[in-house]
Amino acid sequence: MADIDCHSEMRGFHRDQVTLSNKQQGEMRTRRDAGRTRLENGLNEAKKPQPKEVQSQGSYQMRTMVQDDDNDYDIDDGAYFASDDLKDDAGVALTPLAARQRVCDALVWDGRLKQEATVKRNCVRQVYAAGYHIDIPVYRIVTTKDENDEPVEHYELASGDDWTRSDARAVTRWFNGLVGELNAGESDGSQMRRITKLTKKFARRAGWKNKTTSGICITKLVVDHFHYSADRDDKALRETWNAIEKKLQKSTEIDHPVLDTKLAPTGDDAVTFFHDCLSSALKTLEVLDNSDCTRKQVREAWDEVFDTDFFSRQPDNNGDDGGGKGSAMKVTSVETARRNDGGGRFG
Amino acid sequence: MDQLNKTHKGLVAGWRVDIPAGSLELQEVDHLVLAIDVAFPNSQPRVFAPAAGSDYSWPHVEQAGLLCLRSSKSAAPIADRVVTHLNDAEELLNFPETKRCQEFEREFAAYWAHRATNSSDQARVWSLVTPGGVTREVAYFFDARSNRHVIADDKEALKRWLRNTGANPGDKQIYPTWLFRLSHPWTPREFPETGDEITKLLPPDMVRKCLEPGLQSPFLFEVDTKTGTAFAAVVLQAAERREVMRGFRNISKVPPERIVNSYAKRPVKRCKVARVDGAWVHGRDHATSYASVKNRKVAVIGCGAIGAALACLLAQAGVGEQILVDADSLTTANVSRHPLGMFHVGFNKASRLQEHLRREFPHLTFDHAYQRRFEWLAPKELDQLASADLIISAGIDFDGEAALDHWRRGLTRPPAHLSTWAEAYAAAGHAVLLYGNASIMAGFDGEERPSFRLTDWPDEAGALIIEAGCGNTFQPHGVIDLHPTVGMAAGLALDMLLAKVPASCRRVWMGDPAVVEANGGILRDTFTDRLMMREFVWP
Repeated sequence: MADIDCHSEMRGFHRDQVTLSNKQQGEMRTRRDAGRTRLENGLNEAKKPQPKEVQSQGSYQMRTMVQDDDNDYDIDDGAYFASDDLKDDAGVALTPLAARQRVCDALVWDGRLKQEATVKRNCVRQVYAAGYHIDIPVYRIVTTKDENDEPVEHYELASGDDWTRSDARAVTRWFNGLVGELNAGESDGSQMRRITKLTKKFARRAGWKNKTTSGICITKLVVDHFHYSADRDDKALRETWNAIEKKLQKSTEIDHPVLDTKLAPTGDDAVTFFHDCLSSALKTLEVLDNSDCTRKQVREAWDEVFDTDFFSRQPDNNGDDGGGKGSAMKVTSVETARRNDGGGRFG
Repeated sequence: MDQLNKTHKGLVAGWRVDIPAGSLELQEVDHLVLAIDVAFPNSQPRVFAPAAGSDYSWPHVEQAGLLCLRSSKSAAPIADRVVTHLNDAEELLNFPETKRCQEFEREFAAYWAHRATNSSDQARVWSLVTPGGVTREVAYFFDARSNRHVIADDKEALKRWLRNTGANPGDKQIYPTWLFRLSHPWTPREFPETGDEITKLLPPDMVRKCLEPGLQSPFLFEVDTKTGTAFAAVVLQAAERREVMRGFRNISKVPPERIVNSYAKRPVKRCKVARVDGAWVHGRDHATSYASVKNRKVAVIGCGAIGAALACLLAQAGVGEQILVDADSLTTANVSRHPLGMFHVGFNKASRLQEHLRREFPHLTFDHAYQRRFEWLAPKELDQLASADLIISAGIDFDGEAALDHWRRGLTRPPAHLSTWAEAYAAAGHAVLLYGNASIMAGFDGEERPSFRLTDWPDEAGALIIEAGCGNTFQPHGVIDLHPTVGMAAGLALDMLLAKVPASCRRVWMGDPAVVEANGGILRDTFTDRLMMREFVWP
């Protein structure tokens, strides 16, 4: 087996093609904050109570959001209201639909955006012209007593016509906690985050993203089957995928990370599609196991897997194939004549 | 109010609030005065307990009984703020004994400063000692120029630090003294007042060594508080030397008891301590990066606007040792973007930068400044460079870069190399970090220009200006234009020293494309962002 180290290419791909640039992240944050301000202003205008808390969730908050060619991003920004604040003027508790409608009305009050917010089954969605959207799930905070008669809070999502017990923040805490634990130990916690993003990027290439499984399912699979490899993201990715593939061969059922429910049932179509794609990619990567495999072949294989030409476009850095640029000049003497324009370089 | 205005200027109104006698823990207090100044409500209301006194016998009670209370928010209703302050005053004046001690101990350094004999802000004792040690002998020097005692762990450390500041004391001017490690912080009533309170704590064999009639003898105290290590100092003064020696020909014949007695009833000077050790200077004991960079060595080749600024930043970050290399002298036209100013014009950039940094950061090491181009360094000087953790070449020309690259790659264990420069008008900047035998030449084209440059300048006309009456060319950008590039390069250097960069890479600053276009330059396709830094794998 040649075991050609493609870590730097993989890191480059992750940095340039997968992870969101600081600029993009900054724009996301600005838009999220603008959305929060609109909600706050809209509720004030309607003289309705403010949420106790507005909290980002999902891939934005877990920092596993990946670049999308169509700018198709969604930011989840949950609004958590006290139960007593979700009542109508007569003091009657709002239905889940009415709660979502109140948030939706607050978002549309000024009519500044071309596309007005709409009420969805599990959230209120604000679509922006640039292509991305912000989903605002609406929660109510319910206080009950535990066995020691102590008050405990839990959260119920306005889902369809029901208030369903749920708290996406727990999922965020679950993931970020795992990354934190890995960072505290020997493993590289940020590698797990990178592998998660690379896997999401792989699964969501154009033509696949509407058929494949959800980001949280992919995240759960990576977390459960993550293989750490020091300084080798390429190796960690392949080994993690191998482990996921083996798991999915046995069953496509995926447990919810914090609730006693399933993210996906046995035979789930989207998970099955993801499994098929993964098997095919691992087949492509088998070329890496050939003893005479070249860097060029490795890069072509990763290009095929990610449907890109990024890897083949990288300059040679190990010189094992020839073709690298090498030194522009050979130094024969240090007493050579000197140009006075700095070669376009100043300091 | 008139009485209060003697110590606290600007009060314009006040209200007396009576308190039932004996109802507070501090029983003497039978009333409070709530006062406001002319800026109120945009200032804090102040609460005085005049009967509480000004002797620091109660925590957070200052001159004329002013209570040091938490600030209230100016935006809150005035009535709420007043109530908050009065409630806090009541709570403070009801502190039980244990709480009072805890407060004094927690803010030991602040109370010590309040009760310093000379309350001016200037500390008369500077401490270079490493915190966290035990009670022990240390060394001090009295610097008459600044009327200051400098105390260090030992004579060598002290001399090295003093030499860097420009003082050059002989061995005989450095005296032993004693550092006391206290088991707990003193409360103000325990603060030493007279010499015997200190001398009785000294080990017998230190009496002769530390107590020198005729001299002022400083002693250092170190103690752990809830928020970290705190230092305090006292200076002892004996009776006149001739008085102590009366009846004896030599001071060595004077019995120790007589020496001790000569200090006994004389008041001590309580002094604030300014810490000048690296752990304090670089982050008040809290900078984790300092521990990692204090033993690192960096060589800076090219001490121009970028290189010298980098050297200053790395010194501020606490990098333990720097070697400086440059053949040029500072000119008047340099000072607009060089950290050194007009005072240094006409002198070599490397040696003047060395002198400047030594004085500003005397706890760091700047032992080598080579006033030559890299190509002309002697083998011994190259050996020094080879022992560095990182070699930075800043804005040097292609020849120097090529020679450095050739030499470095020939070493068995080449130090990391960071090359940095700005493009024309500083509209773009580069910092390339190379490990092992990676070569920077891989990034240059046949024209000896970086293939990854972001701008082109047809016939160079727009990018260079010919100096009046001279063949010299120069760049019209200013120090502010250069700062993003300097910051980026310094950041990459520090990341390397902190082992945060695993592989060779380059970072690029993309500045303002409009500057390039306005001056006749051409943006390359790779100039994709504006006012943005990005990182790429190398090459």
